Amino acid sequence: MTVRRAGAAVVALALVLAGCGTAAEPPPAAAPVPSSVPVTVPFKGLRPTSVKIPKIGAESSLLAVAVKPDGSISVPSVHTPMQAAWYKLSPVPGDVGPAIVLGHVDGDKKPGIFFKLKDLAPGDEVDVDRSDGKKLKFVVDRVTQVPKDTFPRDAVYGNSDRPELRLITCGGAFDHAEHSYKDNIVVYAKLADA
Amino acid sequence: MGRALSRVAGVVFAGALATLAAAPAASAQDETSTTPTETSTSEPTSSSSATTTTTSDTPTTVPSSTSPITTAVPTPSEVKTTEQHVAPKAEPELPEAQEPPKDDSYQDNVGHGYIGLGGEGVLVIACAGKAPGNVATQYLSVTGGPDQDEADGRYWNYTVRVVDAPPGTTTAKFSWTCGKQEGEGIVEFEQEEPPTSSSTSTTTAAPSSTAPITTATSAAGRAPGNAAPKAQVKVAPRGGVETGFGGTAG
Repeated sequence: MTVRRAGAAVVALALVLAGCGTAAEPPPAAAPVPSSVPVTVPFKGLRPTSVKIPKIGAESSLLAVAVKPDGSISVPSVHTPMQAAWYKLSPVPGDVGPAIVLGHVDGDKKPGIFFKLKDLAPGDEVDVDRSDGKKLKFVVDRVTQVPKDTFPRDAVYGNSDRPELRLITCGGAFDHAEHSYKDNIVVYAKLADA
Repeated sequence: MGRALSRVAGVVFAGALATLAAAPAASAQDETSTTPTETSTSEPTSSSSATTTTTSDTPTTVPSSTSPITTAVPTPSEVKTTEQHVAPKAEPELPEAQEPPKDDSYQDNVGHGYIGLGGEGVLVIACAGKAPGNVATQYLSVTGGPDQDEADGRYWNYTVRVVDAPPGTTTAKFSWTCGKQEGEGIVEFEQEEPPTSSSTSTTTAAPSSTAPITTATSAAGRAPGNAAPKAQVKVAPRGGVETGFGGTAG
């Protein structure tokens, strides 16, 4: 009888050591939250559908994004670095105001859609198509590199008196600890013939 | 009989120890097998081969976040499938990422609202299951939505406009249901200048899910509303833009 108890105890110990048993009941598992869900209810209003920058060979359709609960701008998945997006709380390109278009400089250690955005110069062309069939041509006005810590919100998001475009991506030094670049590249462009 | 049991127990105990001893080696093997995966996904990609042409003329046809582009480079998910054949793991793997992005801190059934200086804004609700329901708020009129954030369909957006907010309003609550769960969040009213008065008073309305509490300050600043000049960017995002995680750009 004693031997039987000892044997059971050793077996129980063995199971615990092997990770097969626990002393207490595990807490009930929370329902898993999917890491992504398909977009079945997209933005239905007038919108830009694509952006093309001939000089740097960039061309992409445009997702419509907003902000996340923390107030930061939502960006395309890092796993689809060639996808650009339009900030839907900004004007539609061609309307008066700064239309915001953003894209990754890279992702998953691959170049992103705006990998060469910093190479743009005043006078370069940016083409945007809209869902109403309009094809717009913007001309680069200036290219800036700004620290994210002191992002110039007024200059980028402030009102303008004509249709303008802001192209935004990351740049500058890469902080490996933060997995993030320290700066943003911001390209300011104006609608041609506006 | 007793000896036999002791032998059995001894064998089991030895087996357990062997399992423990083998575990670190198995982990190390997993790590080793992951390395070639990283190498295979870092194939050089020319800008021309990676160009996307998925433009759609119709506004409702939108590339989803799961399949937005076509490239010649193998997708990370394909690579991971191969890796799972080599070294299956008990724990779920991080999807595809070789460097963890900063935006994987998703929480379901949370929400926040932002009102810009022009009195327009957005409600953002994280609800992965389906569109939120029973959205209720005070001082706001819903002008659009719901529609999903096309970069992450778990987030739902409602555009809103301030209606009859008392002067000085800085925050309000809003509520919703996500599946069978109720949720509650704060709407922040962007102020032209930070409040300079340190003496603030709090006004509390009747707390209920349909008439949320609204907090106001006694500062003389006006509330964003119909009288405010229109802000072309309805809500200015906070901080910079996180559009790079690979560390390949210089």
